[in-house]
Amino acid sequence: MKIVKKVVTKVEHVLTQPCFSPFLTLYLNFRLCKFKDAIKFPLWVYGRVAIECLDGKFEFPNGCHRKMVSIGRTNGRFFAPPPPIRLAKQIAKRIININNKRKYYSFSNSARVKKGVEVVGAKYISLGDNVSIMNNSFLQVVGKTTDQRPILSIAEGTLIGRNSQICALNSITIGKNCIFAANCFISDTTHSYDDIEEPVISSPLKTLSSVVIGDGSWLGRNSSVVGCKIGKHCVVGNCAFVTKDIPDYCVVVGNPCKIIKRFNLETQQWEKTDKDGNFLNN
Amino acid sequence: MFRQIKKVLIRIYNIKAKLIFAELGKGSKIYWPGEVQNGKYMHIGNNCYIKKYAWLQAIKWSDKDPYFSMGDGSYINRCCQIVITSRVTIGENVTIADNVYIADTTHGYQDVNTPISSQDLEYVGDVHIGDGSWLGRNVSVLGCNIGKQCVIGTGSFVNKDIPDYCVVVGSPARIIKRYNFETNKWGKTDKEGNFLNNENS
Repeated sequence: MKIVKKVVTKVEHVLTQPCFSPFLTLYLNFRLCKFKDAIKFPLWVYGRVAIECLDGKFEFPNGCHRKMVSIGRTNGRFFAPPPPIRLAKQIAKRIININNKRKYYSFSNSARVKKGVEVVGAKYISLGDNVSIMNNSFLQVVGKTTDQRPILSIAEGTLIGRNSQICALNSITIGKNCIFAANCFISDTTHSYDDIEEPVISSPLKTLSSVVIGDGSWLGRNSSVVGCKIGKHCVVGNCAFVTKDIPDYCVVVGNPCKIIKRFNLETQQWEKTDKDGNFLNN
Repeated sequence: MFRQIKKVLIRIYNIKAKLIFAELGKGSKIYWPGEVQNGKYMHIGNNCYIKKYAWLQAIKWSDKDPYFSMGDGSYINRCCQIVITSRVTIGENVTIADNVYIADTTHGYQDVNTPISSQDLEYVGDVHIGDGSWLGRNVSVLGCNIGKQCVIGTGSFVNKDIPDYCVVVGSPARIIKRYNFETNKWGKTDKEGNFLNNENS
Protein backbone atom coordinates (compact mmCIF):
# COMPACT_ATOMS: atom_id res chain seq x y z
CA MET A 1 0.00 0.00 0.00
CA LYS A 2 2.86 2.34 0.76
CA ILE A 3 4.18 2.03 -2.79
CA VAL A 4 0.73 2.77 -4.24
CA LYS A 5 0.41 5.83 -2.02
CA LYS A 6 3.82 7.06 -3.12
CA VAL A 7 2.97 6.66 -6.79
CA VAL A 8 -0.41 8.35 -6.37
CA THR A 9 1.08 11.30 -4.52
CA LYS A 10 3.74 11.70 -7.19
CA VAL A 11 1.13 11.66 -9.95
CA GLU A 12 -1.00 14.16 -8.04
CA HIS A 13 2.03 16.34 -7.52
CA VAL A 14 2.82 16.37 -11.23
CA LEU A 15 -0.81 16.98 -12.18
CA THR A 16 -1.47 19.81 -9.76
CA GLN A 17 1.68 21.85 -10.28
CA PRO A 18 1.65 24.66 -12.80
CA CYS A 19 4.30 24.08 -15.43
CA PHE A 20 7.78 25.61 -15.33
CA SER A 21 8.12 28.77 -17.42
CA PRO A 22 11.71 29.05 -18.71
CA PHE A 23 11.66 32.51 -20.29
CA LEU A 24 10.35 34.31 -17.20
CA THR A 25 12.98 32.62 -15.01
CA LEU A 26 15.73 33.66 -17.39
CA TYR A 27 14.49 37.24 -17.49
CA LEU A 28 13.84 37.65 -13.78
CA ASN A 29 17.18 36.15 -12.75
CA PHE A 30 19.23 38.46 -14.92
CA ARG A 31 17.00 41.46 -14.16
CA LEU A 32 16.94 41.16 -10.37
CA CYS A 33 20.18 39.45 -9.31
CA LYS A 34 23.86 40.19 -9.74
CA PHE A 35 25.47 38.42 -12.67
CA LYS A 36 27.48 36.18 -10.32
CA ASP A 37 24.33 34.86 -8.67
CA ALA A 38 22.20 34.92 -11.79
CA ILE A 39 24.28 32.21 -13.49
CA LYS A 40 23.26 29.79 -10.72
CA PHE A 41 19.51 30.50 -11.31
CA PRO A 42 18.31 30.96 -7.70
CA LEU A 43 14.83 32.16 -8.84
CA TRP A 44 12.59 29.52 -10.36
CA VAL A 45 9.21 30.61 -11.83
CA TYR A 46 6.17 28.41 -12.39
CA GLY A 47 3.03 29.17 -14.37
CA ARG A 48 1.83 32.62 -15.34
CA VAL A 49 3.12 35.14 -12.82
CA ALA A 50 1.80 38.68 -13.04
CA ILE A 51 4.45 41.37 -12.57
CA GLU A 52 3.52 44.81 -11.28
CA CYS A 53 6.81 46.46 -10.33
CA LEU A 54 10.45 45.38 -10.49
CA ASP A 55 12.20 47.74 -8.09
CA GLY A 56 15.12 46.65 -5.88
CA LYS A 57 17.51 43.72 -6.15
CA PHE A 58 18.03 40.25 -4.71
CA GLU A 59 21.12 39.67 -2.61
CA PHE A 60 22.46 36.34 -1.36
CA PRO A 61 25.20 37.07 1.27
CA ASN A 62 25.59 33.42 2.31
CA GLY A 63 25.77 32.08 -1.24
CA CYS A 64 23.00 30.56 -3.34
CA HIS A 65 22.00 27.47 -5.32
CA ARG A 66 19.52 26.45 -8.02
CA LYS A 67 15.75 26.58 -7.19
CA MET A 68 16.42 28.47 -3.97
CA VAL A 69 13.34 30.69 -4.38
CA SER A 70 10.37 29.27 -6.24
CA ILE A 71 7.64 31.64 -7.43
CA GLY A 72 4.09 30.77 -8.53
CA ARG A 73 4.12 27.31 -6.99
CA THR A 74 0.82 26.21 -5.43
CA ASN A 75 -0.38 23.48 -3.13
CA GLY A 76 -2.85 21.36 -5.05
CA ARG A 77 -4.59 24.03 -7.06
CA PHE A 78 -4.83 24.51 -10.79
CA PHE A 79 -3.59 27.90 -11.84
CA ALA A 80 -2.46 27.16 -15.36
CA PRO A 81 -3.49 23.96 -17.15
CA PRO A 82 -0.76 21.48 -16.23
CA PRO A 83 1.37 20.03 -19.02
CA PRO A 84 -0.21 16.57 -19.26
CA ILE A 85 -3.71 17.99 -19.77
CA ARG A 86 -2.44 20.49 -22.32
CA LEU A 87 -0.70 17.71 -24.21
CA ALA A 88 -3.80 15.54 -24.11
CA LYS A 89 -5.86 18.39 -25.55
CA GLN A 90 -3.42 18.86 -28.41
CA ILE A 91 -3.41 15.15 -29.18
CA ALA A 92 -7.22 15.03 -29.12
CA LYS A 93 -7.33 17.97 -31.54
CA ARG A 94 -4.97 16.15 -33.92
CA ILE A 95 -7.14 13.03 -33.82
CA ILE A 96 -10.30 15.04 -34.48
CA ASN A 97 -8.56 16.78 -37.39
CA ILE A 98 -7.61 13.43 -38.94
CA ASN A 99 -11.23 12.34 -38.66
CA ASN A 100 -12.41 15.63 -40.20
CA LYS A 101 -9.97 15.31 -43.10
CA ARG A 102 -11.49 11.97 -43.94
CA LYS A 103 -15.04 13.30 -43.70
CA TYR A 104 -14.84 16.63 -45.57
CA TYR A 105 -14.05 17.26 -49.24
CA SER A 106 -11.12 19.42 -48.12
CA PHE A 107 -10.26 20.48 -44.60
CA SER A 108 -7.33 22.74 -43.69
CA ASN A 109 -5.20 21.87 -40.66
CA SER A 110 -5.81 25.27 -39.07
CA ALA A 111 -9.60 25.23 -39.54
CA ARG A 112 -11.68 25.07 -36.38
CA VAL A 113 -15.10 23.50 -36.07
CA LYS A 114 -16.42 24.10 -32.56
CA LYS A 115 -18.64 22.04 -30.32
CA GLY A 116 -22.26 21.36 -31.26
CA VAL A 117 -21.88 22.03 -34.99
CA GLU A 118 -24.15 19.87 -37.11
CA VAL A 119 -22.90 18.92 -40.55
CA VAL A 120 -24.93 17.18 -43.25
CA GLY A 121 -23.28 16.15 -46.52
CA ALA A 122 -19.69 16.82 -45.40
CA LYS A 123 -18.23 15.25 -48.54
CA TYR A 124 -19.26 18.32 -50.57
CA ILE A 125 -17.89 20.91 -48.09
CA SER A 126 -14.42 22.49 -48.28
CA LEU A 127 -12.94 24.69 -45.54
CA GLY A 128 -9.83 26.89 -46.03
CA ASP A 129 -7.07 28.00 -43.66
CA ASN A 130 -8.06 29.61 -40.34
CA VAL A 131 -11.78 29.18 -40.97
CA SER A 132 -13.65 28.98 -37.71
CA ILE A 133 -17.22 27.83 -37.31
CA MET A 134 -18.65 28.68 -33.91
CA ASN A 135 -20.95 26.68 -31.64
CA ASN A 136 -24.31 25.24 -32.69
CA SER A 137 -24.04 26.22 -36.36
CA PHE A 138 -25.57 24.06 -39.02
CA LEU A 139 -23.90 23.34 -42.38
CA GLN A 140 -26.16 21.47 -44.74
CA VAL A 141 -25.69 20.23 -48.28
CA VAL A 142 -28.93 18.57 -49.29
CA GLY A 143 -27.33 16.12 -51.69
CA LYS A 144 -26.95 15.37 -55.36
CA THR A 145 -30.22 16.24 -57.08
CA THR A 146 -28.88 17.13 -60.55
CA ASP A 147 -25.88 15.92 -62.58
CA GLN A 148 -23.83 18.80 -61.21
CA ARG A 149 -21.91 18.23 -58.00
CA PRO A 150 -23.12 20.53 -55.16
CA ILE A 151 -20.47 22.87 -53.71
CA LEU A 152 -20.16 24.61 -50.36
CA SER A 153 -16.75 26.28 -50.12
CA ILE A 154 -15.56 28.67 -47.41
CA ALA A 155 -12.28 30.50 -48.18
CA GLU A 156 -9.53 31.28 -45.69
CA GLY A 157 -9.92 33.51 -42.65
CA THR A 158 -13.71 33.49 -42.57
CA LEU A 159 -15.52 33.41 -39.23
CA ILE A 160 -19.06 32.06 -38.97
CA GLY A 161 -20.93 33.04 -35.82
CA ARG A 162 -23.00 31.01 -33.43
CA ASN A 163 -26.26 29.44 -34.41
CA SER A 164 -25.99 30.31 -38.11
CA GLN A 165 -27.22 28.05 -40.86
CA ILE A 166 -25.87 27.51 -44.36
CA CYS A 167 -28.08 25.42 -46.60
CA ALA A 168 -26.86 24.51 -50.09
CA LEU A 169 -28.57 22.63 -52.89
CA ASN A 170 -26.51 23.81 -55.86
CA SER A 171 -23.54 26.02 -54.98
CA ILE A 172 -22.54 28.50 -52.26
CA THR A 173 -19.10 30.13 -52.25
CA ILE A 174 -17.92 32.43 -49.46
CA GLY A 175 -14.85 34.64 -49.97
CA LYS A 176 -11.80 35.39 -47.86
CA ASN A 177 -11.85 37.09 -44.45
CA CYS A 178 -15.63 37.49 -44.10
CA ILE A 179 -17.30 37.89 -40.71
CA PHE A 180 -20.75 36.46 -40.08
CA ALA A 181 -22.44 37.45 -36.82
CA ALA A 182 -24.71 35.08 -34.90
CA ASN A 183 -27.97 33.72 -36.34
CA CYS A 184 -27.11 34.28 -40.00
CA PHE A 185 -28.89 32.30 -42.68
CA ILE A 186 -27.58 31.66 -46.18
CA SER A 187 -29.29 29.43 -48.70
CA ASP A 188 -29.87 28.91 -52.39
CA THR A 189 -33.13 26.95 -52.06
CA THR A 190 -36.67 27.40 -50.86
CA HIS A 191 -39.67 25.16 -50.41
CA SER A 192 -42.07 25.35 -53.32
CA TYR A 193 -45.70 25.94 -52.42
CA ASP A 194 -47.47 25.78 -55.81
CA ASP A 195 -49.59 22.74 -55.02
CA ILE A 196 -52.11 23.68 -52.34
CA GLU A 197 -53.30 20.12 -51.76
CA GLU A 198 -49.93 19.04 -50.42
CA PRO A 199 -48.44 20.45 -47.20
CA VAL A 200 -45.33 22.57 -47.70
CA ILE A 201 -43.22 20.17 -45.66
CA SER A 202 -43.52 17.37 -48.24
CA SER A 203 -43.47 19.41 -51.47
CA PRO A 204 -40.18 19.41 -53.45
CA LEU A 205 -37.36 21.95 -53.03
CA LYS A 206 -36.85 24.74 -55.57
CA THR A 207 -33.39 25.89 -56.70
CA LEU A 208 -32.61 29.61 -56.84
CA SER A 209 -29.51 31.21 -58.36
CA SER A 210 -26.21 30.32 -56.70
CA VAL A 211 -24.93 32.43 -53.80
CA VAL A 212 -21.55 34.22 -53.90
CA ILE A 213 -20.30 36.40 -51.04
CA GLY A 214 -17.26 38.60 -51.80
CA ASP A 215 -14.02 39.01 -49.88
CA GLY A 216 -14.04 40.91 -46.60
CA SER A 217 -17.79 41.31 -46.23
CA TRP A 218 -19.65 41.51 -42.95
CA LEU A 219 -23.15 40.13 -42.28
CA GLY A 220 -24.97 41.44 -39.21
CA ARG A 221 -26.95 39.52 -36.67
CA ASN A 222 -30.17 37.74 -37.80
CA SER A 223 -29.51 38.64 -41.43
CA SER A 224 -30.40 36.25 -44.21
CA VAL A 225 -29.16 35.93 -47.78
CA VAL A 226 -31.29 33.90 -50.15
CA GLY A 227 -30.35 33.24 -53.76
CA CYS A 228 -28.23 36.30 -54.65
CA LYS A 229 -24.70 37.61 -55.00
CA ILE A 230 -23.01 40.05 -52.62
CA GLY A 231 -19.92 41.97 -53.74
CA LYS A 232 -16.59 42.75 -52.09
CA HIS A 233 -16.33 44.54 -48.76
CA CYS A 234 -20.10 44.94 -48.22
CA VAL A 235 -21.85 45.51 -44.91
CA VAL A 236 -25.24 43.90 -44.32
CA GLY A 237 -27.17 45.35 -41.35
CA ASN A 238 -29.00 43.64 -38.54
CA CYS A 239 -32.12 41.68 -39.54
CA ALA A 240 -31.60 42.49 -43.22
CA PHE A 241 -33.16 40.17 -45.76
CA VAL A 242 -31.15 40.18 -48.99
CA THR A 243 -32.75 38.78 -52.15
CA LYS A 244 -31.24 41.03 -54.86
CA ASP A 245 -27.69 41.18 -56.18
CA ILE A 246 -25.55 43.82 -54.47
CA PRO A 247 -22.46 45.50 -56.05
CA ASP A 248 -19.09 46.02 -54.34
CA TYR A 249 -18.58 48.40 -51.40
CA CYS A 250 -22.19 48.89 -50.22
CA VAL A 251 -24.04 49.19 -46.92
CA VAL A 252 -27.39 47.41 -46.98
CA VAL A 253 -30.22 47.39 -44.40
CA GLY A 254 -33.89 46.50 -44.00
CA ASN A 255 -36.43 43.85 -44.90
CA PRO A 256 -36.56 43.75 -47.96
CA CYS A 257 -33.09 45.26 -48.20
CA LYS A 258 -32.10 48.56 -49.78
CA ILE A 259 -28.74 50.25 -50.29
CA ILE A 260 -28.16 53.24 -47.99
CA LYS A 261 -24.45 53.93 -48.39
CA ARG A 262 -21.78 53.34 -50.98
CA PHE A 263 -18.04 53.96 -51.21
CA ASN A 264 -17.34 56.82 -53.60
CA LEU A 265 -14.14 55.97 -55.48
CA GLU A 266 -13.67 59.61 -56.63
CA THR A 267 -13.75 61.22 -53.19
CA GLN A 268 -12.53 58.10 -51.37
CA GLN A 269 -15.33 58.31 -48.79
CA TRP A 270 -18.49 56.46 -47.78
CA GLU A 271 -21.48 58.53 -48.94
CA LYS A 272 -25.25 58.21 -48.58
CA THR A 273 -27.28 57.07 -51.58
CA ASP A 274 -30.92 56.61 -52.63
CA LYS A 275 -32.50 53.20 -53.18
CA ASP A 276 -30.98 52.66 -56.63
CA GLY A 277 -27.46 53.43 -55.42
CA ASN A 278 -27.04 57.00 -56.81
CA PHE A 279 -25.20 59.40 -54.55
CA LEU A 280 -27.44 62.02 -52.89
CA ASN A 281 -24.97 64.92 -52.79
CA ASN A 282 -24.30 64.85 -56.52
CA MET B 1 -19.75 4.19 -31.72
CA PHE B 2 -20.58 7.77 -30.69
CA ARG B 3 -23.61 7.74 -32.91
CA GLN B 4 -24.96 4.65 -31.17
CA ILE B 5 -24.40 6.16 -27.74
CA LYS B 6 -26.20 9.29 -28.93
CA LYS B 7 -29.14 7.22 -30.15
CA VAL B 8 -29.40 5.47 -26.79
CA LEU B 9 -29.23 8.82 -24.97
CA ILE B 10 -32.01 10.23 -27.16
CA ARG B 11 -34.11 7.13 -26.36
CA ILE B 12 -33.62 7.66 -22.65
CA TYR B 13 -34.43 11.35 -23.01
CA ASN B 14 -37.63 10.49 -24.88
CA ILE B 15 -38.74 8.09 -22.17
CA LYS B 16 -38.26 10.98 -19.75
CA ALA B 17 -40.20 13.26 -22.12
CA LYS B 18 -43.19 10.90 -22.01
CA LEU B 19 -43.40 11.53 -18.30
CA ILE B 20 -43.07 15.29 -18.74
CA PHE B 21 -45.77 15.89 -21.36
CA ALA B 22 -49.49 15.30 -20.95
CA GLU B 23 -49.57 13.45 -24.25
CA LEU B 24 -46.77 12.37 -26.60
CA GLY B 25 -47.71 10.51 -29.77
CA LYS B 26 -46.00 7.59 -31.44
CA GLY B 27 -42.75 8.31 -33.28
CA SER B 28 -42.38 11.82 -31.86
CA LYS B 29 -38.88 12.91 -30.95
CA ILE B 30 -37.58 15.56 -28.58
CA TYR B 31 -33.90 16.38 -28.99
CA TRP B 32 -31.54 17.08 -26.14
CA PRO B 33 -30.76 19.75 -24.88
CA GLY B 34 -34.10 21.56 -24.70
CA GLU B 35 -36.22 23.18 -22.05
CA VAL B 36 -39.84 22.47 -21.15
CA GLN B 37 -41.70 24.27 -18.39
CA ASN B 38 -45.03 22.85 -17.15
CA GLY B 39 -45.25 20.05 -19.69
CA LYS B 40 -48.48 18.80 -18.13
CA TYR B 41 -50.46 21.27 -20.27
CA MET B 42 -48.90 20.18 -23.59
CA HIS B 43 -50.37 17.67 -26.04
CA ILE B 44 -48.11 16.51 -28.86
CA GLY B 45 -49.27 14.33 -31.77
CA ASN B 46 -47.67 11.53 -33.75
CA ASN B 47 -44.42 11.83 -35.73
CA CYS B 48 -43.57 15.31 -34.41
CA TYR B 49 -40.02 16.64 -34.12
CA ILE B 50 -38.81 19.21 -31.62
CA LYS B 51 -35.15 19.97 -32.28
CA LYS B 52 -32.53 21.01 -29.76
CA TYR B 53 -32.45 24.27 -27.78
CA ALA B 54 -36.22 24.67 -28.23
CA TRP B 55 -37.93 26.32 -25.25
CA LEU B 56 -41.60 25.53 -24.54
CA GLN B 57 -42.91 27.64 -21.72
CA ALA B 58 -46.42 27.22 -20.25
CA ILE B 59 -47.31 29.74 -17.56
CA LYS B 60 -50.41 29.43 -15.41
CA TRP B 61 -51.36 33.07 -14.97
CA SER B 62 -55.14 33.02 -14.31
CA ASP B 63 -57.63 30.34 -13.14
CA LYS B 64 -57.81 28.93 -16.64
CA ASP B 65 -55.28 26.24 -17.53
CA PRO B 66 -52.96 26.95 -20.46
CA TYR B 67 -53.32 24.61 -23.41
CA PHE B 68 -50.80 23.71 -26.11
CA SER B 69 -51.28 21.17 -28.87
CA MET B 70 -49.28 20.09 -31.89
CA GLY B 71 -50.81 18.15 -34.79
CA ASP B 72 -49.39 15.05 -36.47
CA GLY B 73 -46.19 15.43 -38.50
CA SER B 74 -45.34 18.97 -37.38
CA TYR B 75 -41.79 20.11 -37.08
CA ILE B 76 -40.27 22.65 -34.68
CA ASN B 77 -36.66 23.52 -35.51
CA ARG B 78 -33.81 24.64 -33.33
CA CYS B 79 -33.84 27.59 -30.90
CA CYS B 80 -37.60 28.21 -31.11
CA GLN B 81 -39.49 29.70 -28.20
CA ILE B 82 -43.20 29.20 -27.53
CA VAL B 83 -44.93 31.00 -24.66
CA ILE B 84 -48.37 29.79 -23.60
CA THR B 85 -50.65 31.37 -21.03
CA SER B 86 -54.05 30.54 -22.48
CA ARG B 87 -54.14 28.65 -25.78
CA VAL B 88 -51.68 27.93 -28.61
CA THR B 89 -52.48 25.27 -31.20
CA ILE B 90 -50.39 24.12 -34.13
CA GLY B 91 -52.05 22.16 -36.95
CA GLU B 92 -50.90 19.12 -38.88
CA ASN B 93 -47.78 19.05 -41.09
CA VAL B 94 -46.62 22.53 -40.10
CA THR B 95 -42.96 23.45 -40.68
CA ILE B 96 -41.42 25.93 -38.28
CA ALA B 97 -37.85 27.07 -39.05
CA ASP B 98 -35.13 28.18 -36.63
CA ASN B 99 -35.42 31.05 -34.14
CA VAL B 100 -39.21 31.39 -34.36
CA TYR B 101 -41.05 33.04 -31.47
CA ILE B 102 -44.73 32.29 -30.87
CA ALA B 103 -46.60 33.85 -27.97
CA ASP B 104 -50.11 34.80 -26.84
CA THR B 105 -49.03 37.39 -24.26
CA THR B 106 -46.79 40.40 -23.85
CA HIS B 107 -45.48 42.30 -20.87
CA GLY B 108 -47.72 45.08 -19.62
CA TYR B 109 -46.16 48.54 -19.37
CA GLN B 110 -49.01 50.77 -18.08
CA ASP B 111 -47.47 51.61 -14.71
CA VAL B 112 -44.50 53.93 -15.19
CA ASN B 113 -43.08 53.62 -11.70
CA THR B 114 -42.57 49.84 -11.55
CA PRO B 115 -40.11 48.05 -13.82
CA ILE B 116 -41.71 46.19 -16.73
CA SER B 117 -40.25 42.86 -15.66
CA SER B 118 -42.27 42.92 -12.44
CA GLN B 119 -45.58 44.05 -14.00
CA ASP B 120 -48.44 41.69 -14.92
CA LEU B 121 -48.47 39.85 -18.22
CA GLU B 122 -50.99 41.12 -20.76
CA TYR B 123 -53.13 38.70 -22.77
CA VAL B 124 -53.17 39.41 -26.52
CA GLY B 125 -55.09 36.58 -28.18
CA ASP B 126 -55.16 32.86 -28.88
CA VAL B 127 -52.80 31.55 -31.53
CA HIS B 128 -53.69 28.96 -34.13
CA ILE B 129 -51.45 27.93 -37.03
CA GLY B 130 -53.27 26.10 -39.84
CA ASP B 131 -52.44 22.79 -41.47
CA GLY B 132 -49.51 22.62 -43.89
CA SER B 133 -48.19 26.13 -43.25
CA TRP B 134 -44.57 27.16 -43.29
CA LEU B 135 -43.00 29.77 -40.99
CA GLY B 136 -39.58 31.07 -42.10
CA ARG B 137 -36.54 31.89 -40.02
CA ASN B 138 -36.68 34.62 -37.32
CA VAL B 139 -40.49 34.98 -37.60
CA SER B 140 -42.44 36.12 -34.56
CA VAL B 141 -46.18 35.49 -34.15
CA LEU B 142 -48.04 37.41 -31.46
CA GLY B 143 -51.64 36.54 -30.57
CA CYS B 144 -53.21 35.89 -33.99
CA ASN B 145 -54.48 33.10 -36.20
CA ILE B 146 -52.70 31.93 -39.33
CA GLY B 147 -54.71 30.02 -41.93
CA LYS B 148 -54.14 26.85 -43.86
CA GLN B 149 -51.19 26.39 -46.24
CA CYS B 150 -49.73 29.86 -45.61
CA VAL B 151 -46.14 30.89 -46.25
CA ILE B 152 -44.59 33.43 -43.88
CA GLY B 153 -41.35 35.01 -45.10
CA THR B 154 -38.10 35.30 -43.23
CA GLY B 155 -37.93 37.86 -40.45
CA SER B 156 -41.58 38.94 -40.55
CA PHE B 157 -43.61 39.97 -37.53
CA VAL B 158 -47.24 38.77 -37.61
CA ASN B 159 -49.82 40.41 -35.33
CA LYS B 160 -52.99 40.28 -37.45
CA ASP B 161 -55.14 37.33 -38.50
CA ILE B 162 -54.20 35.88 -41.86
CA PRO B 163 -56.67 33.94 -44.08
CA ASP B 164 -55.97 30.63 -45.83
CA TYR B 165 -53.57 30.27 -48.77
CA CYS B 166 -51.52 33.49 -48.38
CA VAL B 167 -47.89 34.55 -48.70
CA VAL B 168 -46.94 37.10 -46.07
CA VAL B 169 -43.74 39.14 -45.57
CA GLY B 170 -42.40 42.18 -43.73
CA SER B 171 -42.59 43.77 -40.32
CA PRO B 172 -45.52 44.29 -39.65
CA ALA B 173 -46.58 41.51 -41.98
CA ARG B 174 -48.61 42.23 -45.11
CA ILE B 175 -50.07 39.91 -47.74
CA ILE B 176 -48.24 39.92 -51.08
CA LYS B 177 -49.61 36.79 -52.76
CA ARG B 178 -52.76 34.69 -52.60
CA TYR B 179 -53.96 31.51 -54.27
CA ASN B 180 -56.53 32.27 -56.98
CA PHE B 181 -59.10 29.46 -57.18
CA GLU B 182 -60.44 30.67 -60.56
CA THR B 183 -57.13 30.37 -62.38
CA ASN B 184 -55.63 27.82 -59.97
CA LYS B 185 -52.43 29.87 -59.62
CA TRP B 186 -50.72 32.03 -57.04
CA GLY B 187 -51.42 35.68 -57.91
CA LYS B 188 -49.98 38.95 -56.57
CA THR B 189 -52.24 41.10 -54.38
CA ASP B 190 -52.31 44.49 -52.70
CA LYS B 191 -52.16 44.95 -48.92
CA GLU B 192 -55.81 44.08 -48.33
CA GLY B 193 -55.60 40.88 -50.35
CA ASN B 194 -57.30 41.93 -53.62
CA PHE B 195 -55.74 40.51 -56.76
CA LEU B 196 -53.78 43.07 -58.80
CA ASN B 197 -53.99 41.40 -62.20
CA ASN B 198 -57.78 40.94 -62.15
CA GLU B 199 -58.38 44.67 -62.57
CA ASN B 200 -56.08 44.96 -65.56
CA SER B 201 -57.44 41.94 -67.44
